[in-house]
Amino acid sequence: MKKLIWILLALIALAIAAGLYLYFKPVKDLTKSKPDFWFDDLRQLNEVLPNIENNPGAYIGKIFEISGNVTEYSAEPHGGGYLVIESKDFNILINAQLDHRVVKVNIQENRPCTIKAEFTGMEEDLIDPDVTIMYFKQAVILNPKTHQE
Amino acid sequence: MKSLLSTIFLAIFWLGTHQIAQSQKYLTRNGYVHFKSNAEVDDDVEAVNRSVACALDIQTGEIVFNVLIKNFTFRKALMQEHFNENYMESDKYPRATYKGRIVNLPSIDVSKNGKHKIKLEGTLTIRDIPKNRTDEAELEIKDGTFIITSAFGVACADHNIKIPKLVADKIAEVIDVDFRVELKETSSK
Repeated sequence: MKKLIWILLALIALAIAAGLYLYFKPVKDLTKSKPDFWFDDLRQLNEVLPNIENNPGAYIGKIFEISGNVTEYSAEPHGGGYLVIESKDFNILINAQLDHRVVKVNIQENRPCTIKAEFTGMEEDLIDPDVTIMYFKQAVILNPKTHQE
Repeated sequence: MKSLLSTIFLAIFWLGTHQIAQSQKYLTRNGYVHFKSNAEVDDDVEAVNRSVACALDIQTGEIVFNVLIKNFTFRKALMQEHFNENYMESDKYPRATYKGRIVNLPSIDVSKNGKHKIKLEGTLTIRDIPKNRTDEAELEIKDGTFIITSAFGVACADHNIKIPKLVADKIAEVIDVDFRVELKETSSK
């Protein structure tokens, strides 16, 4: 009987621990995640854009690794911010929110950069309707090297 | 000669009007929106979206916001999952929009730097449910950049966001929202 009580208590403790772990689990740090898709430049991404447009559900939530020239970025003092990757040759623009754990961003505008991030959707640009904006979040910077908290 | 002159005149006129039309639009692709649920039990239910698109026509005062719901980032994974799947149903309703106008923009001298209280009238659409609203905001004009900031409340019931009784003390009925957009003159095609 005593043994049974101990087993029950252990199970309850385990359930509470699992619940607390799930509750406090932070959003995924993508640094060590394997990308589902990777593109060495925006030309490659531009080639598969029609597939993504036709079936966005198959791509949303997936992890992309993308390289390209940074045209705009903003880092926040305590981590996070955003960056934009675009090329004049293609009507495609990458708008990525940086993970809040990304600090001391070592990026220069008009210089190449590689990011890994979760794809969240795409929209027609308000500025130029010919341009498609691809949105990403929780972006981590693979190159150039950036400090992670 | 006469036709050449009228062609030149027309070309100058077209260029002039085109220039005016272009200079009226101020835009950003990276506006900031943050929300926090200040409920009875403080549970840090808050998220940030730094990918908000916003366009302002300074001649008419018309303003548009486009917010992709999945771009809201939480600190806790479970909260982010529940927000997208249970409350906002972001696969079904991927975006929130605001379309309105700055009512008192015509009374503001937009060519000078300064801070002004502005009144926004428009329609906020979340989960495909439109809600007309009037809000106060601040407009700062700084060297040709229009910076708009505001804080307001969004009632969950207005957009049919259902909160289960089990977590009713953790999620406020009215969510506190604040935003900041830095709009820059952009030449559109």
